[in-house]
Amino acid sequence: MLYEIAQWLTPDVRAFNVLTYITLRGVLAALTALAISFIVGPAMIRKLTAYKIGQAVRDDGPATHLVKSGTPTMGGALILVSVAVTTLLWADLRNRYVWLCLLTTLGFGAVGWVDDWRKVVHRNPKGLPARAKFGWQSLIALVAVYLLAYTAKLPQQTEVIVPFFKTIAIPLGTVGFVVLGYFVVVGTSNAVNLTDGLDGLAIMPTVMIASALAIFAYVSGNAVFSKYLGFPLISGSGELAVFCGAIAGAGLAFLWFNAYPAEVFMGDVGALALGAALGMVALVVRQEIVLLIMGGVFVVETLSVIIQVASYKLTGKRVFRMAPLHHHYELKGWKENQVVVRFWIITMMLVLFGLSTLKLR
Amino acid sequence: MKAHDHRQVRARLTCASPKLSALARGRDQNLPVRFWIITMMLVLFGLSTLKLR
Repeated sequence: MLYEIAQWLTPDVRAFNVLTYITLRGVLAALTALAISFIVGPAMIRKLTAYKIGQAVRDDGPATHLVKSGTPTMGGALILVSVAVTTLLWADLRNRYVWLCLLTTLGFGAVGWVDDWRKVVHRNPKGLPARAKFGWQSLIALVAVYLLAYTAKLPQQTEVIVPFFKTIAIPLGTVGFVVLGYFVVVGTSNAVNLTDGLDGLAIMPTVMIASALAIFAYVSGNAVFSKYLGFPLISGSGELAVFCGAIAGAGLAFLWFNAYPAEVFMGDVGALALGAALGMVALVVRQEIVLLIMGGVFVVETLSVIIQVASYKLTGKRVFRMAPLHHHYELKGWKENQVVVRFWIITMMLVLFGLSTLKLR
Repeated sequence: MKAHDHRQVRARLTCASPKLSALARGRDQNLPVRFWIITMMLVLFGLSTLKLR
């Protein structure tokens, strides 16, 4: 919105031209999302508490988590409101990538909302049935990815870029791109949801990865930088830097309330939505493999659950003391804070390694 | 009674309220994280001066 207003005013007042630059709008989006979340956050937490929308803690988890029972959940709605308002304010609303990513994020958020609402308000421990939850996620992801593939104008918009290799790009075609995109979006969404088990564990890696994807988006959408670094130009993808800035800002502000000891949890509404957002942005800028690298913590957490379930079903034995992986380290004696901060450090290292692929080609 | 025992007792008594529950679990523990968030905000603001000239 402000972008269109700035473009309209620039011929008369040159100072407004500065608001048409993606870099500045990305930073301002982050600060705006921060401000919105800080202003709305306390009131939202009070409302969630008043409506007794509190988290029910599983009794088969670590005993130290029982004290978290009653902490308000569904705080991810705060993040989504902040991201949506900020994106509509600062992004170029004529850009299809912005709408695709934003609507997919909100769609996954709606699925998470229904699941959380049933669990917490209706006291239905099953929430949304697994098939329905997965079905809706799949439908939204397939529609979004198909639209992305269908509106692609150039072959490089559906090719897989291999990190570290400038000349290797795997063409997928429309069908292959849709299949890959489906797994990226749904997989990332559920991986973030599995990781969201300790105070602040999921949100900080999300902020870091969103910030890195903002850089990739800017590079992919800039003719000069993309040519210099050997990336295919994906015209219009630079605007996603604003969307990623909004996620980073909203996430940081949410962390203010979510850091140990948390006053609010994000719930499925936040986790599913943020994972889908990261997956969609990575798909647009063609950095799925780099997302796999930077999101290593999410990947390992998901693998720990798969390995634990598979091992127990096949052999009757557990590989980890508890899954997901963060519980395993808690039961090994690590304090919750230690697990969280150490996973943040690992994510920071992986994000830096992912960013190095910009130049190491 | 050890310090962490006092915190455990307070946690059981104050679970009704998230803020009181957070206090029982040591509210001061999120101070470092909040200071990091403030620093990141200031860094973002500093980076905006690259363009706002």
